[in-house]
Amino acid sequence: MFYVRYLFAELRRRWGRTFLTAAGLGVGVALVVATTAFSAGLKDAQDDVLAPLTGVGTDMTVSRPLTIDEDDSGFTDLSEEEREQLEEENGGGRIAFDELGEPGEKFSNDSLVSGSQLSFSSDVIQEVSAISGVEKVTGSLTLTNMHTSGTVPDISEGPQFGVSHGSEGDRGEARELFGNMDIEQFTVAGIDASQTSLLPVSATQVTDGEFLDDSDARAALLSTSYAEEQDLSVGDTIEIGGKKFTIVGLVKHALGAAASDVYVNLTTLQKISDREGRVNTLSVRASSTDDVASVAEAIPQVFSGAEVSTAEDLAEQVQGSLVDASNLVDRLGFVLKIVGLGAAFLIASFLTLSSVAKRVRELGTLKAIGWSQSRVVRQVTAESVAQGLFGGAVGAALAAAGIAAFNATGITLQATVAAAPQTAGGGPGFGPPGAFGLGRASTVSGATDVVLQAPFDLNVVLVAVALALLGGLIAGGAGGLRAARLRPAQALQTVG
Amino acid sequence: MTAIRPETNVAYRLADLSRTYGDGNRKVHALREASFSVRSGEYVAVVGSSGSGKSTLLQLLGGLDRPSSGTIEFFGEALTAMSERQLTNLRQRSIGFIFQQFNLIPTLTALQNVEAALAGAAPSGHDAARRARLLLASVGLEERARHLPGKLSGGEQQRVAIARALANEPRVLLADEPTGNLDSETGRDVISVLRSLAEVHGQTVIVVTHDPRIAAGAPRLMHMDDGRVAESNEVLSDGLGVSMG
Ligand SMILES: Nc1ncnc2c1ncn2[C@@H]1O[C@H](COP(=O)(O)OP(=O)(O)OP(=O)(O)O)[C@@H](O)[C@H]1O
Ligand SMILES: [Mg+2]
Repeated sequence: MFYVRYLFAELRRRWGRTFLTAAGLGVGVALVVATTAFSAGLKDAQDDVLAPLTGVGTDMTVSRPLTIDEDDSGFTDLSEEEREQLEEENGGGRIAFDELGEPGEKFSNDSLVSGSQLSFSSDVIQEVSAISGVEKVTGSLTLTNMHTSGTVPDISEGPQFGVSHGSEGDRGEARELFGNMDIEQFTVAGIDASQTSLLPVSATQVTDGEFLDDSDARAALLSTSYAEEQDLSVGDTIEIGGKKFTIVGLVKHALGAAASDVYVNLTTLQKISDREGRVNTLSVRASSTDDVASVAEAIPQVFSGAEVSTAEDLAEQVQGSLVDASNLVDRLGFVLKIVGLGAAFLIASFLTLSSVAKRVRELGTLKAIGWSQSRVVRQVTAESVAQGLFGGAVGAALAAAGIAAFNATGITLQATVAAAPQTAGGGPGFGPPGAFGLGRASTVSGATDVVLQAPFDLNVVLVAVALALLGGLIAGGAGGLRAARLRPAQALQTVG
Repeated sequence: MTAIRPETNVAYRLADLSRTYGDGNRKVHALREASFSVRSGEYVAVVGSSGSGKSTLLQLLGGLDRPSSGTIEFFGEALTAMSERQLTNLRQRSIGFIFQQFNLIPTLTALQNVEAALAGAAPSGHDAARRARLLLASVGLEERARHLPGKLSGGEQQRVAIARALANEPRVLLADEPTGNLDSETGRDVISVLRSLAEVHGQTVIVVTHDPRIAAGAPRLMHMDDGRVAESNEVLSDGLGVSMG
């Protein structure tokens, strides 16, 4: 076919223009494909990280948090009864120095204090279970174990005893207060080991030893991070509330799980902490994801003051470079894609139009030797479409190379789950150790690294190439038509 | 369509043909009420100073432009009343155009340039290539068939253009200063090729030229001055003389 040979002759013999157009289109197409691949990679990574959180989208946790007013007037949202309850629970953690012994004597004290979560009767489990749409409920009790040791201070001389509220970084680390007193603390959760599917830890997360057996009252499970920190391993013992427990296993937390340092059986913890029949967290599973919203809404109605957090809420707490990158791409990716597509489209259009403009005389000649207007338009359009195809191929190759290079570098992003907002500080009316323990019931459960892998999506390539083609088609068609509509005499007079 | 009546032996009949460019103060009367006829098979040379309207006249005769007023009959058909489609048809089958700048397609070989005129109009690809080769041979360029225009001399390029103009065996050949870009010797060769081929096929030729020798060799000479066309003998009798510069 003459037209085809003409088309290729144009592309081949005007190789400079062909190359320039292809390069321009290629960059545009590559930009779109690469951006899409990158954001898809980020999304995959994020889904990976969130899978343990949102995997069971029907789960939610219920707690009764303490909140303190800005003006330090205390736990204003508590009823008188609850206030007393809190004081009573944390009173056990108060160190009565005069009871420890004479100043200068060695002392050691163990106590289990409540965190920012108020405990409540496990009867609530039955009430929540009765809500329609609830499949099952289990309660757990999370406390802070305070171990204080040192020499009894002379209260009449020394400065007033005061402990500032522990910040996140202090956790588990010995704090020297007067140079002769240490406070060590860790969180301990009492769990109903028979309810494995609803617990923050499960048998599959055991990295060493075995999972908690609900018949073994003196067994403890340690989180791998705490075990590492304290240099403890399976078979060692740990003191909780002054009682010895044997470490039967280590568990690695899933990202975002309401994690504690130590797990023991619920009934044991209730007993040794004097909180029989009380829990401070409910894990609730809805029958289906459709029920989650209604259940989350119904819980505070049967259990006043309850705070319900769903898997979705938890997912929102994921932070770190992964989330930053993914937010950035969410925002920028769209812009980049538009810019890429716009660039591809504009480049195709501009170069086609300018090359058509330079060929007006040639097109006039074609008309003078008998070519119809439509045939001239067809020729020019076919050329720019072929050009678009070529540019698209270049772009796909560029993008593939870029993505391969990106994947080869294996960029790692991090995701962390923020701690639940610390809602209580050293409020008035509470002994320092108690205040110290507040806000520590649930802790950051760690960070996860994800290696980014950007997938190469052929569909995106096809769409981008199609847009480049469309640009060529429109520009070629419009430019060709404009030139071909000129009277040949006019076209022939055009300098070019 | 252009159903041409072959019995007509008048190739062109012009009546009060005018072409003005622009309007108002800047109105240019490129052609003023030209009325003349050209017989079929006639060989006419048109001379005149630059800007006198020669190209304008030729473009109107070739259906490349439309007049401001007046009519052209082409073998009895009202050319000036034709639709765009009819004009395309006319340019394709009945008129061959030759330009001063050759106007070859730079990316196509000599052979393909000739084929460009055949494409679509006539035969299938294979026949078109064979016919193009014959046409190139008739202008003495079979050896140069695969060359790009850029690799050909001016004379060779113009001979390719002549082969292209003849491709569809048009009834009329219109040449606008075909030797204007050639040295006089090459110009004479090109003209003789043009004349002899036209004679063989009985084609009507109208050639605009500045070359006095080409003009002198033409059986009929027309002169243009400021948009007015005159037969050279009339012009001479007017005492204006024939400018052949
Ligand atoms: N497209 C146009 N727009 C305006 N004026 C034009 C146009 N084409 C030609 N003219 C004017 O019309 C007049 C005749 O031009 P034309 O090209 O026909 O002259 P010519 O005899 O062919 O000259 P030359 O020997 O230089 O080729 C000139 O004055 C020219 O400037
Ligand atoms: Mg001219």
